[in-house]
Amino acid sequence: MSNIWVKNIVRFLLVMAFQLFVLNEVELHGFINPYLFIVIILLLPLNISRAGLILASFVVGLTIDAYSNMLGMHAAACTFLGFVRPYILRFTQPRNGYEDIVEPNDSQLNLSWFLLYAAVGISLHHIVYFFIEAGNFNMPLLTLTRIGANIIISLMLVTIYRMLFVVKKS
Amino acid sequence: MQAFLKFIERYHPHLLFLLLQLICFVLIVNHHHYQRVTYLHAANAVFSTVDKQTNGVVSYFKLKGVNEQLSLSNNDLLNKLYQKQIEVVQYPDTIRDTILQVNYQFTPAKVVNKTTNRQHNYLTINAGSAQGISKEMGVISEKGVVGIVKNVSENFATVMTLLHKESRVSGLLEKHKNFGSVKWDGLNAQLAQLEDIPNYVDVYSGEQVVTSGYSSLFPPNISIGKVKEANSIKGQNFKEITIDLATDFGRLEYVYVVNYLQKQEQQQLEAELQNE
Repeated sequence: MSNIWVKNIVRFLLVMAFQLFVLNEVELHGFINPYLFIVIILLLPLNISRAGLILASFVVGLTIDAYSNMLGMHAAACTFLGFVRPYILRFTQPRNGYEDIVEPNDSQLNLSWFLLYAAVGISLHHIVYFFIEAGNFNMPLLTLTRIGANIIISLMLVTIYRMLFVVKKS
Repeated sequence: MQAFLKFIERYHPHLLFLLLQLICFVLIVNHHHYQRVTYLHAANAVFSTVDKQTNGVVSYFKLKGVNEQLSLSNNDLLNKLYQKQIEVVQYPDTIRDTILQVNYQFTPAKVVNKTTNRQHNYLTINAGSAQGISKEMGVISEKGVVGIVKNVSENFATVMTLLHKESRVSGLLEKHKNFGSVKWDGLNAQLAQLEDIPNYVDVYSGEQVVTSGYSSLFPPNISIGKVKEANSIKGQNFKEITIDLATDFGRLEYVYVVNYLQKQEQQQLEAELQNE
């Protein structure tokens, strides 16, 4: 049990470092900014308490905010993702449930399941985040384009991460 | 920490979610200029709509009093009108009627917000630059002086009332023709003080205090209040005079903004004195 927490904390540190020092420097036309850090929230253990999940998501968002000078924006979107993750899990539940699976990147949950799960999560997060960042609903077309482009990039990165760090059934 | 989490878990994760979102919201609004402006804009729209609605209801209940006031002021105006006609008939050839040249223009406005219980009390009225109102215009009601326009937006204006510690209006003792300045000490919304009246003036209680017309804010002879008490203090050159204000700020609903049309000309001429 404690092993999983250590793993999540290490993942938090490494992914966060990669996000802040590498990915945040990538800005294509000020338009696309890949967000891999969502994977930290998506891959938190399935049996985490709801309150713990929400708090952890808040901390993830706040960390990104603190470094990129966006105080509050990422935190709001991440907290939202943490709040809705249990609903997404229920919505994407496989036929025989999660049984004793602990981690969302377990190989028992196949890639197509993970794609659906991640796509829904990332989409919800990005919709919330980009509308907060835009601060209005005046130019929905531009905001929606940004959301769409970023969802694709983020989903690609998150899926690559899942493929690299998949947990084999022991 | 564990106990705290358990408590929240049992209570509801929704609460935690709302709390954290609130924190985020405060952070965003405090740290991002654009989002703050958006928020203030939205909040303003909501509150001003609510204000308007309550105002509509409240003003209905005050109709009776307002009607009485209107008929009184009608009566007053009629009286003035007939007096004028008599004058014209009396001196048909020689009168050089300055009345023909309009000196003061009045714009009616309704009070939409006000305070009376602070040290610096303001009104908001529903007339602004679109109705020809600008800064530093006088505001009166049918009962007497109200205050001075401080700030103007397109459809609203804020008025610094007499009940403001910085406000000064020049007042004239109607009988003795001595003038001083009326200010407010911040204690009682019914009472103000008249300063700079020398000790030798035999002020009696009940004497009217009216505007002097010197300040180019108010027309002359608008009531400010009645002398309530006048004391001379030993060793002081000026009397300490308390006046009962004519305007009942608590019940104020309709006001008139005074536009003195020759204000600019007068001020320009007076400013030249200072340049010499």
